[in-house]
Amino acid sequence: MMKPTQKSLKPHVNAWIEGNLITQEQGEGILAKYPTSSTSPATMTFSIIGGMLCILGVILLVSANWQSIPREVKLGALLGLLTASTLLGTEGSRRKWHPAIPEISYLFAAVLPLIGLALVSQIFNLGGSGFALILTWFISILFLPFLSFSPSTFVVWMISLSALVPLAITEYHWAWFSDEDQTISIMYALLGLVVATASQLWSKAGRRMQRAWGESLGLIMTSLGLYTYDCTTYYPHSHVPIWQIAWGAVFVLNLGAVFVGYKAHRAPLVTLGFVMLGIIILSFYCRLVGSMLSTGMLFLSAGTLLIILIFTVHKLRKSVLQ
Amino acid sequence: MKTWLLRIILMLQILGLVSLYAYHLSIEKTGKTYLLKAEPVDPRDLLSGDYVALQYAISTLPDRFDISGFNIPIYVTLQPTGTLLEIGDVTEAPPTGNVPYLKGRAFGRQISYGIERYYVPEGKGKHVPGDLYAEIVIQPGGTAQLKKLYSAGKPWPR
Repeated sequence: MMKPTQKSLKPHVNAWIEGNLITQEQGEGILAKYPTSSTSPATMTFSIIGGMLCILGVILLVSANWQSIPREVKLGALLGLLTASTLLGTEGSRRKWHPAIPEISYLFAAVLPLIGLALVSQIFNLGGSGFALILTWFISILFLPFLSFSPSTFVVWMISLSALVPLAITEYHWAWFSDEDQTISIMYALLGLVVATASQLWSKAGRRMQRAWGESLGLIMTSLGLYTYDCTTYYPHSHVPIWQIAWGAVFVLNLGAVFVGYKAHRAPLVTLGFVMLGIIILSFYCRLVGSMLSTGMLFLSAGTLLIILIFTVHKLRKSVLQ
Repeated sequence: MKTWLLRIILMLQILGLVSLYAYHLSIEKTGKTYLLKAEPVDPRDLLSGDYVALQYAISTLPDRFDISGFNIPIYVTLQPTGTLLEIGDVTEAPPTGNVPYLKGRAFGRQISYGIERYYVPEGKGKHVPGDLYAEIVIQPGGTAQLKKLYSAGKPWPR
């Protein structure tokens, strides 16, 4: 159903004024509450489809002729896009446009520097270090989420930060804890804690969305780090398996997250905590009974457990959030 | 939100990318060029498209040099043999004198010079000829850049 507009309401308001039901001022006041005109859903749908087809056409045209486009034009186009996205983001925020416009613009502003670096690498056939590439990108967007207050740039910022850890460890062969894999797991676990704690600072700026993202990504990183700590496929003779302890720690951590989320009224933390609890229960089950059951029985029982977990977690989450 | 700060960041990003482009362009235009025998393999980079991964005769450390460890910065002096180049000497400090040398990193017996990939148009990297020669540019300081590939005396891919 179409939303009422000034155009559609005007005949009715005029009739009410003429019928002395409302005054002229009241009529004008009512009309002022509605937008001047609205676009029909059909027009909107066809405009979106048309716009997407145009964008797809431009992408196909550019990619088909990529090699014949002069490199200065490629770089110029990228810099143009970067400038346009940053300016559109700042102007959109300042002039209070629809929130999606500055958000998408800032997302482009955060990702385009990486594409620019990859483009220069492609133009000059550079095969340098992945760590240097991501580090340069991270530095170039270091302050962007804190100046734009855009949640999507903060997520991109977090992704680039978390990508730095495995790249640095594998490229420089840092094996502070028995091997590189375990070093990555421990560093991820620690980084997750730091990120989740530091994200509380967003509360001071009144940015709950960023805080929720920081907490969630921090919880995922720490859980992932602990979960993978003892997942090495090759075990030397001296190896004492501690995966039960590590997975137990993930369980306790996420139970804590659900409790904190419940106490502090933070729904994303409750949801994520429950999902992780479900994953860890299923993982424990598969690892413990994996060697005892036939493949068919394992699939059947794990599938049944998964269905039970989904329903239980959904019910628990609902009751906790209420 | 500080709009002017965001604009400064934008200017720095543009300046950074343009400087990076100008730096590599200057290496390509002003550096001295050399020819290396190359051996291809054919992977694909998700971010940047098709490229040919290359291995050179100078990519393997000869047995006479005793360098061990990973990611060790080294300087490889190049010795001309005909129109091509091979490893003359390997040192951990830049060589003196007017000899061409490359800056690389040793990973065990393998040396990486940052010229191990050559981007090609999509699909062109499937049939790579065996007789590949790489034209490289060397800047003072030993930084190398891969300029062009040749096969049968002509630029490749055609």
